[in-house]
Amino acid sequence: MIEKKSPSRIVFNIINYGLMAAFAVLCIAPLWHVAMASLSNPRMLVASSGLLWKPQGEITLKGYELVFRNGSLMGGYLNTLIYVAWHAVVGTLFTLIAGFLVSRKGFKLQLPLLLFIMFTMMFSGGLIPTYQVQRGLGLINNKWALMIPGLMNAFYITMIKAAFDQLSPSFEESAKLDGAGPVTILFKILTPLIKPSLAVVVMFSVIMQWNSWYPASIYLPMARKDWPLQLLMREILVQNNTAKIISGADAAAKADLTSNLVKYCVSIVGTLPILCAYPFAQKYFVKGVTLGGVKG
Amino acid sequence: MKKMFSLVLSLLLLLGIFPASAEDMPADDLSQHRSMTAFLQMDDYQFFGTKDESPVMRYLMDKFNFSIEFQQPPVGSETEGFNNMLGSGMYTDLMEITYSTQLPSVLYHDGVIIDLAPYLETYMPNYYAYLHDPQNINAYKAMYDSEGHCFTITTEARDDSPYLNWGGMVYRRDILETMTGGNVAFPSGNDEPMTVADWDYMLELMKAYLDATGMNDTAPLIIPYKGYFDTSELVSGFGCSGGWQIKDGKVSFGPTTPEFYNYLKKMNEWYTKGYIYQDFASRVNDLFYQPNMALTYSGAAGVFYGGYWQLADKMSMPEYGLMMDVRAVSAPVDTENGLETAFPALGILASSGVTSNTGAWCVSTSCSRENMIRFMTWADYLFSEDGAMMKTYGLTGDLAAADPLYQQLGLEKGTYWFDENGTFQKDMRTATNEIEPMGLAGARLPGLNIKKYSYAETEQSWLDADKIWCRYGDAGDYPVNAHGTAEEEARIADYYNTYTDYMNSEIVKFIMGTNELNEETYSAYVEQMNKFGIGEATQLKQEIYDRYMSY
Repeated sequence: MIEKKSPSRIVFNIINYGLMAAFAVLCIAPLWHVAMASLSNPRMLVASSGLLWKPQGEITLKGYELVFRNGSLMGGYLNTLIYVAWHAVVGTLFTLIAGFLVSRKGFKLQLPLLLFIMFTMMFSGGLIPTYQVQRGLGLINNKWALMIPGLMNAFYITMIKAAFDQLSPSFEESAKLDGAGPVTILFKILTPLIKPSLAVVVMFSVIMQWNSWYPASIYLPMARKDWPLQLLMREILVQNNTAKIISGADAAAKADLTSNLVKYCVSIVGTLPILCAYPFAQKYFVKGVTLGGVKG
Repeated sequence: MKKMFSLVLSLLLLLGIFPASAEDMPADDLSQHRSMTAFLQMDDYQFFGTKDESPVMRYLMDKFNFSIEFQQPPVGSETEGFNNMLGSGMYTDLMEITYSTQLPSVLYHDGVIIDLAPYLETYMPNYYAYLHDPQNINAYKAMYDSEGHCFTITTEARDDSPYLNWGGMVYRRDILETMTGGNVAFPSGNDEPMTVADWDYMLELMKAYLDATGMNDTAPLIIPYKGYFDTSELVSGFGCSGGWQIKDGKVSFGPTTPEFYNYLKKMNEWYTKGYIYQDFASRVNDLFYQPNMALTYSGAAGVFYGGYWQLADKMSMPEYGLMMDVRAVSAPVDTENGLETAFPALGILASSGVTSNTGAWCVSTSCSRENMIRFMTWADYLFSEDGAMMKTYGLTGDLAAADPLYQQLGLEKGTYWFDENGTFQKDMRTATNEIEPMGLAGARLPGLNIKKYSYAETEQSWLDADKIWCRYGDAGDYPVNAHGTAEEEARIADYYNTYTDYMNSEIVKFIMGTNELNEETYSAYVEQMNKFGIGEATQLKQEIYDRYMSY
């Protein structure tokens, strides 16, 4: 049936699309500015102000050349990929199992375990006690300091629990009648049914790990080779902003215009992979986040 | 019999003392390898990752048979990293304490570091001789406290060659030449702006020039967001400093003196006339030596704080038709109020590049005796002539042959050498500035900096600028190395936290005209500052100063 558009509908569409387009421009504009700055002549870039719609001066890839020539940045990329993959796969697996456990009605420890998990969501020991625990476990200056603590997130566990709670008990019952054990029920019957929620957990884990730099700065002070990309990027970005100057050589080094250009290039290099990956997971993201909000 | 017995016991006691004394100061056995750890900030200019990959460090490790693992926190997190280390109790053997928020004396009393004074003469004869040289009395006072403790080994010791000020106020001479057709005529009759009247003349021309360009955002004069320079630029022309100052042996606080009122009056006048960048108070993130780079580098600023790397035509862009002639300028002397010379305050000269016990290395209480001795041995080498050259300029050709990084960079001759005429030569392909090879030298290591060769190579524009920036000297500056006890410093910090926000906001309001500025309102401001404890802080500073000057 072809629906005839009323004048009010047309006006609404114009305003709606117009506002959405303006909002999209507002979101894209800073990214565009950084991208254009990264291709600009460093001297012209410093002399510019306001939003950049095109590269300043002659287009140059000198900044990217400096970034990719930096061996530690490439190493940081690899480390980040390792941490992201680990948390996405192993972390999601453990979260799935934990969420399954606390969603089982017949499980005697369901309530205590759930309360334990919720407690950790609200209270934390703080930086120094956490550091002491890590040190006691021998994790300082060890890449496992970034891979074991924080592998599971209480919020994701409750999200998976909620996803399992939404499923009809008949799935499990019929699987049991067919002789399936808990492992088979979890991985072959129930998990495929909560794919959207899993995708959300994976995506959140990936984004969190991709952006993570603080734990590495605390727990890996002597292990620069294990530093993730974001920490190395932060170093470059912050370098020109530190005000502690011991000598004129310090001041001149901080005033170097090329390093100003490198900041923009590093931002693009660090952000682009996530930007490229995000659209592919978007459909799962929308479905998973709204899951539970729609009955029936 | 009794006497004989007592004599034998005394002899035995004496015999027991000597071996014990020898063990107190055992010689360093270089055949024994030592492994140590160190906390150090990252180098800004890197051809390598951690400091143990530095060619100079590698040479030292080889020569003195030790290895060192560096804990180098991410740039920007140095203070946090240092505090975390202190909080966890996992001290490295050695620490470079630039980013410590506590003075060395406090770290010592907290049991973090040890007092090196008893060991210096035995294990660091070069450093000891340097500190006890009568010519280096300021260095001695910087490193020793009034009780004879020495907690640190400085990274900033230097020879007696002149130290050049790296930054100060600069002005665009090209604008004045353009506006006057080459006939710049300062009211004082000088060839450069030296008095307030000269600056009135200069700023008026600059405003006219910048207005005529049609640029949206311009600034005849850029001042810091708080309205004055801590480092006393501009302010000193009116007879006071931007912070603590000394006049005839008496300590006072510059921003509460009657002279500062004259400074505020003139700034208010210039702001009203549009000479001062109208949005200066919002530029809170600008570094004082990199004010509003968009304006300065685009040619939209007339007078600003600059560095030696911006002098003459270094900021010009001929391909875009932007030609600049940037020159140094000293503080405008307030002859209108009877001054004949500026106050001798120069914060930058006083605080950077000076032998300091806060840009220095310490030995922690976690360090073993053997590691401490080995550290002092190799650190002392960097106070010898050979070691100091290495620290300042890097490796020579004969040593460079063994270093893979030098080979990779094509530095077969090393980073410096002396040619057949005995003239100092250096390879600057790898430097961020044109004076020192920075990352390939011993930057941030303890030792003596030999500046005489750098000085000889300095560009004339920097030498000329330095004369202008340092014209009035720094005799009125509060000594940067005059530190109080932990309790005194804590009390001064408390007062500082109380009065700073108020002071900075009031100064900005006076300059921008938000608050009326007259003698009455200024007196009310000073009275409020006294209520916030500036008087007590001044008294403490006076006591510290008197103690500092007494030894």
